[in-house]
Amino acid sequence: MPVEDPASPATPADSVVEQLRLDVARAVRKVCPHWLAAEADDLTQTAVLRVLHRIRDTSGTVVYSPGYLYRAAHSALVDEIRRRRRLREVPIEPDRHAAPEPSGPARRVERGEIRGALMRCLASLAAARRRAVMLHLQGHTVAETGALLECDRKKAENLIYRGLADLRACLAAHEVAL
Amino acid sequence: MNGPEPDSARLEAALRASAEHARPGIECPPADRIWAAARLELPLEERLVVIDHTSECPVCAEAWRLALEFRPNADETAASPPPARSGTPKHSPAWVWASAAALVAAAGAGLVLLNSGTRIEPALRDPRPGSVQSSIAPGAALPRESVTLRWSGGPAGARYDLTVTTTGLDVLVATRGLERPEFRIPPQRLADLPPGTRLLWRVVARAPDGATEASPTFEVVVE
Repeated sequence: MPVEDPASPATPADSVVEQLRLDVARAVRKVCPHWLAAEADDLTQTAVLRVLHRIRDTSGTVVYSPGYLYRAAHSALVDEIRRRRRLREVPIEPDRHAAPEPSGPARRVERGEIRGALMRCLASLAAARRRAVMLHLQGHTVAETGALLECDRKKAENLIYRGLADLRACLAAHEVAL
Repeated sequence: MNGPEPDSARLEAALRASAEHARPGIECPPADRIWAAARLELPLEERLVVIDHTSECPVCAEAWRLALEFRPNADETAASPPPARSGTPKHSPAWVWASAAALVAAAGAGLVLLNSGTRIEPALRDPRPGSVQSSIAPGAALPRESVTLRWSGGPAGARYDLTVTTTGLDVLVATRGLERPEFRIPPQRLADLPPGTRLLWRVVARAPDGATEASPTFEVVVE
């Protein structure tokens, strides 16, 4: 039984698919580390083709919507990224796609230590503050953080403020200044 | 208090960098569940489980950021009314298929938050109207001889603090009290960067009364 959505055609228009490709590639380049961003075109192709195959497999019994397309593309993309991450070996030699590293082995060690300290310090925060800080660092506004945690703006602001203070104190204890 | 500490660009960059060599675990939630949590489609308890996981798993934190970046063309659903939230968990595959039309509204028309009355647009990372925004196209590539960052918005009479870093956390610019909403990065500070280097930049607008308003983190590429 098809889902009725008069605004949507039965199959994706080329322009819709092309826009989807552009948006997927843009998101990969913006969000993913260099070694994955360098594969943005390939990742995009894989994800979009998987979505189109899924639509074809329904033999027209489901009328897709653009909103569904994006959701399905996100799912296919994340699955493919996870697959590639599992297959990837951590390079001993510098990766040709890697972000520009600060020079010197000591600095490379330092960067690894920064990442480790950040994750340890995040884990050490009180749950409510950790969640608020995490959403803040993911790019959410205070209002969005409040919405996601179902608390008012004032409380969200307070959780972020105090959580960031706790996080910096913890990092300072690890001799990491961010 | 003027709001949360605004100058956390380096923390954000460190969080992103933590995903560089990370691998997914067997306990990672399905991608669709991350999408649903980020879009307020899961009830609070289940949403918190996903948020908690992203704070431990850089790969899923990355998937969350990707969910925020994905959005259909706003024009297609601009006329759709905001959907009401049922509060009932709905995330079985059958529901996903059967609710495709509803998803358009959820993704394109925004979500009404019953507890606060706050309306959230689907593009969660977009700044609110009036906030500081980049005047440079997202991810634009600029010649290193003339990397001039420009922005708009912020309170009247504001001065601006600007921080520019590489994705590797090196601070290239940290300047305060700019009177004009633009800054040209001295080319010598970019001399050692390879072509295609991505830079992250963020502005904090400081109003005359002391209030601050932080921009999102923007990105520009050095040619």
